[in-house]
Amino acid sequence: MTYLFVGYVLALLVSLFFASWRVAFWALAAEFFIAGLILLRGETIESWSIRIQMFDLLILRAIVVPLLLIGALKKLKLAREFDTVPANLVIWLFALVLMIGSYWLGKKLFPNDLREAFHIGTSVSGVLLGLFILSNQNRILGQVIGLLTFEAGILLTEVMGHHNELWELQVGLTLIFLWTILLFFEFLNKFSKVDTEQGIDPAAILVERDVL
Amino acid sequence: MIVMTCALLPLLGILLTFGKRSARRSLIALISTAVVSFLLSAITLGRWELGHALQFGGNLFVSDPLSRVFLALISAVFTGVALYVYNRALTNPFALRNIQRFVRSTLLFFALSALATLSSHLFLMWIFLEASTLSITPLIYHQKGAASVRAAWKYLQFSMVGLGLVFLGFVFLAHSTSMHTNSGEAISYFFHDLAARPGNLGEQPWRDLGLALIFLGFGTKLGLAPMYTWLPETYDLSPPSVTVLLSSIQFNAVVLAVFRIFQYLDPLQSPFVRYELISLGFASILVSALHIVVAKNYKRLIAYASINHAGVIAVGLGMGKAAAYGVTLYVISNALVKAVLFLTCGNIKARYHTKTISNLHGLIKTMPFSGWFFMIGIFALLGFAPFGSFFGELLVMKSMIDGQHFAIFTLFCLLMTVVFVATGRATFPMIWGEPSHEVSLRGESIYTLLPNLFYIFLLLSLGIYLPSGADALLQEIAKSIGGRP
Repeated sequence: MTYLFVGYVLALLVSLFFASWRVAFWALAAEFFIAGLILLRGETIESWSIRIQMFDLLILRAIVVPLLLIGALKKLKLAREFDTVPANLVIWLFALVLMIGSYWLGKKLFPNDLREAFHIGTSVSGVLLGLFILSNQNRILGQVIGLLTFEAGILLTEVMGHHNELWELQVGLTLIFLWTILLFFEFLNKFSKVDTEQGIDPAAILVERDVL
Repeated sequence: MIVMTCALLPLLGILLTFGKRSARRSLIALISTAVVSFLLSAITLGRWELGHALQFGGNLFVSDPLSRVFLALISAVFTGVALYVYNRALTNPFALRNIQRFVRSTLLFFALSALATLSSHLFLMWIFLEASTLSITPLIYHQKGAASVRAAWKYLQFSMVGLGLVFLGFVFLAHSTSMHTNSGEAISYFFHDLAARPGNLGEQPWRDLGLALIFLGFGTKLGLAPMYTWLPETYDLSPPSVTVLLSSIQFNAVVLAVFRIFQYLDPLQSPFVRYELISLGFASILVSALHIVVAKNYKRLIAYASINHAGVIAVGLGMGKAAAYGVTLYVISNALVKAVLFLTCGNIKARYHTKTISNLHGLIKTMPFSGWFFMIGIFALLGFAPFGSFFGELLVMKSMIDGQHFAIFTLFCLLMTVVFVATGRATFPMIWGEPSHEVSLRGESIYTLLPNLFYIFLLLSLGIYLPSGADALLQEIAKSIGGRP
């Protein structure tokens, strides 16, 4: 299973070091896919809850949503180049320190179980790097990537647990994710209008007063 | 189940908002749904038998003292919001634009919040809280400009991070308990399973890590420092009705989730959590005090006061058993105070088109009803007697003395005095100063009068006279979150 974690770490690093939003989204897709594979290795697919979670991770988050997001962003005609974190040595060093700190935490929590230590180290890296991207970005696109990286880290932590939630709750989680993505689309659209018109939103002409 | 009807009725109301020429129909659906939900929740609260909890919907939902009181509370606030929106639509034709979409999202938000209050499973509650967050986000920029869109996006980001941390906390806690049991079975988050568990929450450091993340996450949703920056901006830039939905309904749904954690997980068994709650609480009170001192915008000032209140609640919860009744009283009062103040802010803004404090003087003369509501709301906000907030705060302070936490007590008094003086200095001239505008009753209709009068009546009742049944109910809630009977 260790190679899956290595793959996850590589995906995290790719999204940090390649100045492209497409690559960042495909790296995210890889993170969700690997989380799905780890779940597949650890659980037998006998309950509806696990089946729905598999579908959510392997199909929805790893294939459908990245394709839709990239398609929508292409229509907005964004520049291909995009840094998820500012491209300088200090920031990269900081990201590296966060990752090393995460693995140190993993080792501290599981001193006698290298696999679990690696698992927790990788997932905490994902969570912290997601927050790191989020705090470094003032553009919505980068913030969306940060939020999704953060969420992928949390889901990787979740697949570690030996608990089987109700299928209704799993459906709820999937629906929440889809709803969130729809809102991301809406905000990406709205902010692209604001950006292209140098900060003037057409809606602002209508009102800046409290009607309701 | 009558309580379930309160939650499902708004979903039926949504159907009425579709179709041609549905603006008026949407408004009627909003009001009728709100009023019926409120009446039903009040009836079930009145018929309550102490010590009685009923599970339904495949054990996914529960009707117990906590859920019934909070459902009645948010239904009461929602009715006020519905009447306010109706009044705005009557007085301003511009408000009717896209009203269907507004009503649809509002009803959906209320239904999801009501379902969150009725949930009997922590994950399910989390799902409804997240869903209610998503449903209210577009309302923040309804008929507003770029600044409100940015505020909505900030709100969404902070909410996602906050609820994400809560989720991570649940996962860590599940891991902690699975390590603790021989079978390796993780914790079930059904309330009845949690209630049947022995007190020990499992292995360290997972337990502390899990609980700390849960409170940090919920703290973010409540606007506790350090993750508070979304709150003043969002409350200020949202339409007033949406600010009330956020500050009184969503805030209380999240507080209920925190109460549930106290009820079933006994988090104060970890000293780390106690210190976390007290630290977050004091940091919030300090931050809000500093901002209130320099506030120039009355809506933002009340938003900062809201951070202050969240801080008092966190400190009270951190104090534990002795403060539980005070916290309960304070939480209920807080919802009503914010509803009165933000709805009144909406009326003032609609009349004078300004949110700047220095532009307004003598409201009590120029807008008699709103002026009085604003004054009473500010008194209740500051914790004057005889309002419920006064007694809530007093009991929290008493718990500090009883527990011999004199340093905490002194710091608390000092910061609250700063808030008191700064709020009074900013708002009193607004209320009593020499009027700068002509006297008018324009915009002050029965629809805005009634809910505010009702909220003030409840606030006074919480402070002066609580019927024995209501007092027993609050005692039971306090007991369930760890208070003395």
